[in-house]
Amino acid sequence: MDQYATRVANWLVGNVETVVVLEMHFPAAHIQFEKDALISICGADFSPHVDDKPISTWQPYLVKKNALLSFKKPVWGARTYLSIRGGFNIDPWLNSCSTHILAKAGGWQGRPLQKHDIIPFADIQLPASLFHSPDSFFYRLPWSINHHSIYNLTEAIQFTIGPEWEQLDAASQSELQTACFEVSTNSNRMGYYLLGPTLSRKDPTQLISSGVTFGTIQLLPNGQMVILMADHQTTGGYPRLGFVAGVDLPRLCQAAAKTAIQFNLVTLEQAVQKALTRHSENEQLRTLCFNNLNSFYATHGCQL
Amino acid sequence: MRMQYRIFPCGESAVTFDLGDRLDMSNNQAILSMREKIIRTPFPGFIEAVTAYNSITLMYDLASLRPSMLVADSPFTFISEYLTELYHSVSDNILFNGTSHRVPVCYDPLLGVDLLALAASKNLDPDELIQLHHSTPYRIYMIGFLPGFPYMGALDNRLFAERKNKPIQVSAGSVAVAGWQTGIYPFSSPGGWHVIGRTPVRLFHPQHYPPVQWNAGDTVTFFPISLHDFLSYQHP
Repeated sequence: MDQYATRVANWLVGNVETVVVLEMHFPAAHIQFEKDALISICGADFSPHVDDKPISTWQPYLVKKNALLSFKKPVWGARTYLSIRGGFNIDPWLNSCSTHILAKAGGWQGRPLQKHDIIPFADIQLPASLFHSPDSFFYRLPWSINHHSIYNLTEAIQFTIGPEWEQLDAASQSELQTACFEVSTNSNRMGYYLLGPTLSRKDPTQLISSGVTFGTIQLLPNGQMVILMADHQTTGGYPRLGFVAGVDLPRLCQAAAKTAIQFNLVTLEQAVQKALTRHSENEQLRTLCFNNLNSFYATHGCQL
Repeated sequence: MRMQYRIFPCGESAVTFDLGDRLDMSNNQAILSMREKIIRTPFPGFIEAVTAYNSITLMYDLASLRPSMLVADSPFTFISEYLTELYHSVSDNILFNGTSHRVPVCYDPLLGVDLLALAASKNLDPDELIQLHHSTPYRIYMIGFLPGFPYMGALDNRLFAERKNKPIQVSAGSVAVAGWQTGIYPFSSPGGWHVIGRTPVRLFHPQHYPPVQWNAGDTVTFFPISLHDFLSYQHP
């Protein structure tokens, strides 16, 4: 879902952005590391703790064998990502390590993780000099990512118009840009159902199915909207009012149920520019993370 | 024959080329041929092309496009021209050829739970309905809704029925009809189509590649089997 959090989580531990991560919702898992690991947790803040001592999100940590990771409470956001240096050992299916629950395939045995599952991951070398006392199970690497500007939910979600935007009556077009919409508790990885003022189309003709994308805003027959998310069906026939700008998808992914959101119309050119700027910033961030990690390991006389 | 088309952006990372709402085999054939051509020689940054009845949606990685593809701060002009040329290059020169599949169906009302009600509402004998359904081969226009779910047409006019207002839970393998289409649910799912039978064949095999045996552009012919044969069907 939240591709920004996934990428940063990977970069913080020196992985390329496509390495498999673990996505968790709250209540999240208790995880024991059966060997040393380099990890980070990005995305939602579920108050992560290692052996009941608080750790930060958006920061890399070295954890020792037997360290226990737990999440105490939902502070902010909807889904959090655990990355691990070298990735989890998951066999890809259809070029992905993601889980397809309906097909019961992919990811870990085609299902969500359960208690007692043991997930293998790559060995790492842990600089022994860092752990001064037998009680310390983790070491915080001294850099973190300031993610707040990406996730400010008080700002409206930007969108570009869709092919059926013109079919909305004027009042509905105005409502969409000014009203508040609540993310309903029915929302999930397939789509975010929004609750708000009823919108109307001038022409009620049904459309034939067409390809849809992550971020497509559709109008349902009951006048409410749904935003298609990461697990959306590949095609759909509901009117497409607009498309959430790519830069705002991570933010949207962290809007938990009952969050209020608003929309702001932008031009296609603006959406393109913002996406390219974000990409450029990401490249710099990636380089910074990798350089920091390499220097850190070099300083401590061992290899990543 | 060149049709009217519409091209529109789907956000900054996708564009749709659409031949309109009139369902037509040659439009569908052109769309599938376009996809075939794109995946053989994709442009840098191309990710995926999703086809539907009359449309193709191209998804790309904006940052991987060549700078020359961005005109007036947007890739839309470039991608539109690319799609237009692609359409013209295939519409007289169809590249795509589908394969044929035969699918056994048991039309017993125990499995075809909506069969009797549908027949009654269409003033047809159930056997007539069954005959009308399996006596013609169908084209798969697109795959969507569920992995491997084939949207097939065209159904005989006498079988036309609107989708149900309230979807119900439908068993995996259910063969169903709605509008001028017929389809098969590869998985148990909520469904609003009228279920008239069930196939014992397993349609989605995660351990095979590809996991689904058919594609858009293929032809499916149904043939009836008894309830006994359905129950004793041996999976290969």
